[in-house]
Amino acid sequence: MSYALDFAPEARDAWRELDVQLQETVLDELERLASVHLQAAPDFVHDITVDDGGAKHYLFFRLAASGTNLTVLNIGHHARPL
Amino acid sequence: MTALPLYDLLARRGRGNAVPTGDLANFAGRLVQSALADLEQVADYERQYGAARGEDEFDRQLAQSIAELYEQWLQQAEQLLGRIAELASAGTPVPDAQRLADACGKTRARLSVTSLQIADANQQVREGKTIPASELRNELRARLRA
Repeated sequence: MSYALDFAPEARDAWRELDVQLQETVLDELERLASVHLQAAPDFVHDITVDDGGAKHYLFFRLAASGTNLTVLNIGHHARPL
Repeated sequence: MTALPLYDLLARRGRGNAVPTGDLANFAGRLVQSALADLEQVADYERQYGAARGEDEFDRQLAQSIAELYEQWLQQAEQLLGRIAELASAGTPVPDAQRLADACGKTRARLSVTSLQIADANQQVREGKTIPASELRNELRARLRA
């Protein structure tokens, strides 16, 4: 089962604060997540780590699966210089 | 993690009575495993008890309480990372130090989301104010073309 992916405005605003490369990575990751069957609880968290050569980026997502929708509630970000 | 003061005491011992650096590294390695297990425990609490109930004030307090658990963990874990950095600079690496550093980074990312932002997002979804991901994808494409 795949889900229709959408964003709370709060998550959209946080996504807009990321640089363009990270924005693309985030969309790719969340679309991948929406394309698979989710074993997690209806509300769950997910995180990824991205190394861009200059920094290690930690991205955190709060998500809610409901019916056929997967909603991104919040996005958190922390960067650690390498 | 509560054993960090003991580690500090052993690390401060003077010449002649100094604890070998390798022993300190082993001790620090055990503290790393303990810290990672503590973090998993906090995540378990969140998975089991952290779901929003749709009651604004309770949900806000719940999010705040869970955030405090992560903050307490992060404070202690970063203190431990400081001790590990001292050992590494003396040529004694500690196993799984990178895992702990990554766990701290992930926790900082998590804590960058405030309980107010969580409450706002929950409210927005309850009100049906969501945006299809395709709009963000189109926005990104336009930005890349510009």
